[in-house]
Amino acid sequence: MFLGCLGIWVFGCLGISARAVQPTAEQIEFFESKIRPVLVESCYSCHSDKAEKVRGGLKLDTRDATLKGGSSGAVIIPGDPDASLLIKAVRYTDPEMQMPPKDKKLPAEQIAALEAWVKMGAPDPRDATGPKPLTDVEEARAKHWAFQPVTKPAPPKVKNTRWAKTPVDNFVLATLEEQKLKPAPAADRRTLIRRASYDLIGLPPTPAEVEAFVNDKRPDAYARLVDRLLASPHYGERWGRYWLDIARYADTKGYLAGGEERRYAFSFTYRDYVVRSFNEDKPYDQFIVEQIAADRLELGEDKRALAALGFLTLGRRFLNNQNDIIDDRIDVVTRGTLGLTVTCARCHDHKFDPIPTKDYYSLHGVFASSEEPGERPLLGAHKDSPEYQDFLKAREKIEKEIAEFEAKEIAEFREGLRKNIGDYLLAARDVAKLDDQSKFDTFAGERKVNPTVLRRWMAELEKRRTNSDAILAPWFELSALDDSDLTTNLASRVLALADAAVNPLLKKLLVEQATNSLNQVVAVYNQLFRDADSEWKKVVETAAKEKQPAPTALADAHREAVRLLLYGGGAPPNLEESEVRRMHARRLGEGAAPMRNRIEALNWTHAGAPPRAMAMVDRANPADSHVFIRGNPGNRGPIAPRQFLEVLSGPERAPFTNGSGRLDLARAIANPDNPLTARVYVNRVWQHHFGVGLVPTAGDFGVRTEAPVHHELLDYLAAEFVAQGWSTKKLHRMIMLSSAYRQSSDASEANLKADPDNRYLTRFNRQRLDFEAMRDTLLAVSGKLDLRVGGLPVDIVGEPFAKRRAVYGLIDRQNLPGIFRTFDFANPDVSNQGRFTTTVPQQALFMLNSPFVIEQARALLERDEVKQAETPEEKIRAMQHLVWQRPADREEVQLAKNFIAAPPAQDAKLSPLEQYAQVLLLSNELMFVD
Amino acid sequence: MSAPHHKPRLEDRFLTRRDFLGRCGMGFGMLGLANLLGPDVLSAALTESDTRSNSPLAPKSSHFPGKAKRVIHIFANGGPSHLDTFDPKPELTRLHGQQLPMENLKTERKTGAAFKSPFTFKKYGQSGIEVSELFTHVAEHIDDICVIRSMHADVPNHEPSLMLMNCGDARLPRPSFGSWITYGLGTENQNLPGFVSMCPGYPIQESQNWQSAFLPGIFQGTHINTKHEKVEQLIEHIKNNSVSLDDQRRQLELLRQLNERHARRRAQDAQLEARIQSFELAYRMQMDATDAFDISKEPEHVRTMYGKGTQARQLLIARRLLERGVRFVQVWHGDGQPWDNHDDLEDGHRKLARESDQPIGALLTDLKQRGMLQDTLVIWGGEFGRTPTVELPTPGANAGKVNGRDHNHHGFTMWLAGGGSRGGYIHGSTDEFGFKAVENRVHVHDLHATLLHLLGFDHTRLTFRHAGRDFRLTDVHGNVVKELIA
Repeated sequence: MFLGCLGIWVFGCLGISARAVQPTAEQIEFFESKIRPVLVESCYSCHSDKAEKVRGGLKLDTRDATLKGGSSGAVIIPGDPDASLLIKAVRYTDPEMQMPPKDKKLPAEQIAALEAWVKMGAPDPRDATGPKPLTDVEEARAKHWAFQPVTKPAPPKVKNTRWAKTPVDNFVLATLEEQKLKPAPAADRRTLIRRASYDLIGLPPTPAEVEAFVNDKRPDAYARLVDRLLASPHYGERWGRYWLDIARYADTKGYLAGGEERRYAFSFTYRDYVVRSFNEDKPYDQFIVEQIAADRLELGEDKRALAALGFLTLGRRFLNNQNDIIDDRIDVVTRGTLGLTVTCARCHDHKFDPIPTKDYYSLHGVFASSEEPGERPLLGAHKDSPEYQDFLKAREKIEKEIAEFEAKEIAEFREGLRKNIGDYLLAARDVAKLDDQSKFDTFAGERKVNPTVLRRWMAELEKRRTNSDAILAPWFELSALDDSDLTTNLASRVLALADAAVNPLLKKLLVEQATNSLNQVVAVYNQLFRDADSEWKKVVETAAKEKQPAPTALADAHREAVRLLLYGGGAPPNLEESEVRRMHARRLGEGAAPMRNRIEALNWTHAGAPPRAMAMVDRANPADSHVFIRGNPGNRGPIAPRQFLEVLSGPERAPFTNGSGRLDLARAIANPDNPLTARVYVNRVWQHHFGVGLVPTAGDFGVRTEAPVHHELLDYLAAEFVAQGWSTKKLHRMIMLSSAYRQSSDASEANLKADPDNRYLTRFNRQRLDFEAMRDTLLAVSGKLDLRVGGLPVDIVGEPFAKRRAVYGLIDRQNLPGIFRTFDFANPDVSNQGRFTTTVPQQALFMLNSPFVIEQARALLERDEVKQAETPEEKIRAMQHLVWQRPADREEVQLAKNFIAAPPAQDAKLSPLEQYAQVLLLSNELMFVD
Repeated sequence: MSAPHHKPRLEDRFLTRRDFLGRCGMGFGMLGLANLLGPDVLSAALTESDTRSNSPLAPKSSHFPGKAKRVIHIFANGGPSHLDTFDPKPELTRLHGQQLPMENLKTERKTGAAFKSPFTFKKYGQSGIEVSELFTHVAEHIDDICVIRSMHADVPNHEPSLMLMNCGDARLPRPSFGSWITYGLGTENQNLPGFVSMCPGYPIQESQNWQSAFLPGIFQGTHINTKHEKVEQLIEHIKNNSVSLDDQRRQLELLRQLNERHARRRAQDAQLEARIQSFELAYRMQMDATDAFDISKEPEHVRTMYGKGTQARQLLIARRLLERGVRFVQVWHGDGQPWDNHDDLEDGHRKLARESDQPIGALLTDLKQRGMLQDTLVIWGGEFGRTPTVELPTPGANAGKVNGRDHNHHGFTMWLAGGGSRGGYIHGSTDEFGFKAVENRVHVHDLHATLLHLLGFDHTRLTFRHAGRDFRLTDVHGNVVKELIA
C-alpha cells in the first residue's frame, strides 16, 4: 500500500514518472539497495572525488566514470561479469588484483550482487537521465518549450464527436484516441454539483440545491449551475485562498528580536483585496500589475488597489535582513507568476535554467530601489466618526506615555554621567598610558565610564591644564605623584595647596579625607561634584514648588563653578539630547517597544482604526545593484542594470527607466507576449480543478520540466485566456463545461491498468478536502458557519471556536498551530506550488477527539431539520441527508439504528445520536469529492 | 530481481511497484528518497496491507546501513561554556585577570582579561579525559563519549547559530535536522510522532528550531511543552473528554462499515483505504502515547536514578519514546536561553549543570543497560560556547557585573555518545586559551554530515527538490569527520 506516498506526491508526480525509461525502476531499486551501499562503503575511499588520492585513476562515484574505468582500462563489461576487471578484483581470485585490498574481501552476498548487477548490464541511475541543463540564453530561447511564444493550436479532429463538447475535449480526446483509451462515463448530477461547489466555492451544496439541480430539466442546467457558483461571493474566498498559497500569505512577520510586534496590522487588507479581485473577475494582467506596482498606477479616487502590494511586503522578515527580504520578494514574483526559479541564481548562475546571476541582481536592484512608506496609506477616505476620534485619542494617549518614558530615561542616563566624576578624571589620566588606542572603548568599559564622556573630559582637562584651574589644578598636581609619594606626603601636599588658588569646597574635602592614597582624592572629587549636583537639584525643586522662576545659577560662587562643569554649555557630561538618544537607542527602543506595540495593536483591536495598505513606494534615488559574488554582499561584482530577464525579453532588452522599475517589471510579466505568464496561470487553475496541473510542477517551468502530455491544450487555454481579456471566470467555464471535467472519478479496470497515474485524463481525480474545505464543511453541515466576507483575521484554533471561514483564520507563520500542519496547510514562508496530501493518524485524532468536531456533532442535532424530525429514524435520515447531501438508503439507516440502540457508556457525555452524528462527520463520503 | 510486482491480489487495489517508484522517485521533491527505498519497505508494502507502509512516516532504509537508528539531541540552549565543562585550560588560570597575549577575538560584546574557570577538572575513565566538576555523572561515561573540542560556527549570535545548528542555515527557512531524519528514515512506531521536541516553554526562535520548512508538515517536530505534566496537555487531541474508549470503538466500527460501503460503490481507490486505516492508528495512538509519556510507570529505582526536576522528567520521557521507536527526540534545557551566562557564570553554570548532569548520566546508564546505546546517537551541546575572557559591562546588559563570559562561535565543545560514535576520544582542540578551534576543526556542517553518516546517509544525497533546487541539510558544505566514527 503506497497510499501515503500516492497522496503526498500527488502534485507534481504525474506526467513525469513514465519517462523514467532507463534504467528501469526495478534496476534502480536493485542498484540503490545492493550496489550503491557497497560502492560507498568499500570503494569510494579510494575511488571517488572525495578520495584523498584517487587510486589507479579509477573513480566509481559516477556512472560515466564507472563505465570509463581506470588506468587499466574498463573495469566493467556490461553483461559479462567474468570479463569484468571489477568482478575479478572483488572475487580475490588473482593475488595481484584484490579489492578492497588488505584482506577486506567483501562478503559473498555483496560479491554475488555485483556479479548480478554487471550481468544485467550494470544499470546505473547515477547522473540520472534528466533533462540536460540549458543555461545558454539564446539556446534556451530556441529550444525549451516553455520559452516559445504561445500560439493558439486548432482543436484537433476526433472520432467521438458526441463526447467532445468543447475545444478542451478535442485536445483531451485526441490524445485518448491516439493512446486507444476511452474516457470515463459522465458523472451523475449529484456528483457533479458537489464537485462544482467544492471546486468553485469550497463548500458543499445544500440538500435543496442538490435536489433542484438533479431535477432541473433545462438543457443548460449545468452551465447555469457553474454561473451561479461563479457569481457567489464565496467564490473569491476559495480561489483567493489558492492565490494566497502562491503569495505565502501570513498575518505575522516571523521571528523578530527586541520585543518588536510580530503581527502585521494590515495583512488582511491584502487578503481581502485578493478575494475581491477574484469575485470581480479582475483581469489577471491587471491583478499582477497591481500587486507589483499599484503605487505607480493612476488609481483615481478608489485607492483600494494599493492593498495589492501586500503581495510583496507580507513575507517573513528574516530579522530585518534586507537582502533576504529582497530574495523572498524576487522569489514570490518570479516563481509565483512566471514559474521560474530565479532565486537559484542568487549565489551563482542557475545550474539548469538560462538565468545568470546578473539577471537576479537586475531584479535585486528593482526591489532595493523600493521601500515601505513610514506611514502606510489609507485605503479610502475614512469617515470622521466618533469611533475614529476615539481611536486617535487612544493613540495619542500611548504616544504621550512614550514621550514621558523617553524623557525619564534620558534624564536618568544623564544623571548617571554626572556621577563619579573622580573616576572619569582617573580614567582620563590612565587611558593616556594605553599603548593601543583601539582598546579605548574596552578600557572605558572596564572603568565603568562612558567612553564619549571620557573623551570630553580629556578635552576639558587639556583645556584647563595650563590656566591653574581652581577645581582641577589640585588634581593635576596630586594625580601626578607616585604611590610612595602619596602614602607619605599626600596630607602635607594637600595642606600646602594655596588657599587662593583652590576652590575652598575642594580644599575642605581634601583636608578631611585625602591622607595617603589617590583613591581618596578620587573619592573627594566624586563627592565634590555630587554635592554640587544635589544642591542644584534642591534649588530647582524648591523653585518649582514655590512657583518661582527656574534658577539659573547657585548662589555660592564656588559651588556654581563646580556645577558649571556638570551643567554648563559644553560641560563634559552635558551631552546633547540627540547624542543621548543615539547612545541609548537600544534601551529607548526596547523600553518603548511594548507601548509601540500597543499603538500597533490598536489597529486590530479598536473599532475606529482605518484600514491601510501594506504598500511599497519607489525610493527617491533608485539605483542598480552590484552583483554579490557568491551571494556575499561584502563581495561586489559588476553593476547589474535594472531590467527584465534576458531569457524572456531577448538581447535587445532595454533597462527599466520608470523609478525603481517595479512598474516596468510588472508590465513585462503581465504581457501577452510573455511566453510564461498565461501558461503558468492557466496551469494553476487547471491544477485546482483536477488536483494535478497539466504541468505537474506548477512553480517550475524551467528546462528541467519537460513539455507536458497536453502541451497543445495548455497553449490553447493560455491563448484563449489572453484573448478573452485574462478572465479567470471565463477560463473556469472553458474547463468546467468540458466533458473531460465532467467524467466520473471511478477508473475502469482497463483505464486503471493503462493509465494508472491518469496522465491522459481518462477520468476525474477524486480529491480529499483540504484543510479549509474540511473545516468549513464541518461548520456548514452543523449549520454554524458564519458566511460574512472579509475583515480582520480571527483565531480559529482556540475555544470558543470561531465560526468564520478558515480563509479568515489568523496565520502565525512563526508558530503555525499544529492543526494547520497536520492537515497539510500551505507553507507560509515560501511561494507554494501545491499542497501535499498526507494521510496520518494525527488527522484522525483531530476528527475523533477535538472539542471542535464534537461541538459540530452536537450542533448537527440542533439543526431545525433534525430537531423537527420526530423519530430517531427520521433524525438519522435528516442528518445523513445534511452531511452527505443525498437520502440515506435502508441499510445505512439500519446500521445507524443498531448503533444508537446499544446503551452508551455510563458517564457518556454524548448521546448515541450525537455519537452517530460525529461518525457522519468523520466519514470518507464527507471528506472526499468524487 | 525476484520480488514480483504483479501479485493479482494487490494489483487491482494498489499501485504497482513501478508506479510507486515512478511517483515517489521521479516526482517533485522525491529525488532524494527514490534512492532510499530499500527492498524491505517495498516487499513489505507489496505483500501485506500493513498499515505501517501507508504513511509518509513508514520506516525506510537509509543509503547504507547506519550504526545509529535513533537520535536524542540534548540541547543546552544559550551556549554552555566549554572552558568550564569539557575543555580545561590551565593557561587561563595562570593568566587570570591579565590580558591574553593574543587579540581578543570578536564576539557579540566586548570582553576583557583572561577569566579562569571557577571549576576543577579531573580525569575520568580509561581514556583519562578531563571533565569538570559540573558533569561528574556524565563523566562516569566518558569512555563512551566522543568529545569534539574543535567545533566552530559562523557568528556569535543566538538566533543564527541556533538556526545553523538545527537547520544548517543561519537565516533562511530550511528543514531541521530532525525533519530530514524523519523524512529519510520514517519512524518505527506509527502510534507516536516520529520527531519530538521537548522544552518547558520555547527556546528562542521557537518552533523554527524544529521546522520542516519546505518538507511536508508531518516531518516537523512535535513540540511537547514539558511545563505541563498531564499527557492530554502534552499531546494535542490525544484524549476525548466526551466519549469513552468503548463508545469510541463502536463509533469506529460504524465508521468502518459506512466507509466500506462508500468504497464498494466506487472503483478501487487507495486514498480511501488509507484514510480508513488512519482512524485505526489514531485509536491505538491514544493508548500508546498516553503510556509513553507516563513516567509513573517507571520503577522507583529508575526514577531515582534520573532524579527530580524538569530535566529528569524530560530525559526519562525521552528514553521511553526512543524505546518505543520514536526516531528523533530533542530535549531543550529550558525556556529562552538558560545557558547564556553573560554574568554570574559560576552560579549559573553550577545550577544548570546540577539540573542536567544527573539525568544525562542516568540516561546514558539506562540506554546502556537496555542495550540501546549502541544504536542510539546521543548529542549534547549548545549553539556555541563561551569566551575565555571576561565579558565587560554593557549598558542594559549584565547589570554591571564582571563575572561572566560572552558567546563564542570560534571554538566550542560538543559531545556524542553511542550510535556508532567513537567513545573515549577527544577530537581536535582549541588554542591554549580556548578561544578558537585550531586543530582538526569541525564546522557545524561537518558535524551534520557526520551525524547523517552515522545514520546511514550520504549527506550529499539526502535531498528534496524545492523551488527548482535539490536542497540538503548541508547545502553545499560539509565533510564527514571519519575520526568521530567508531
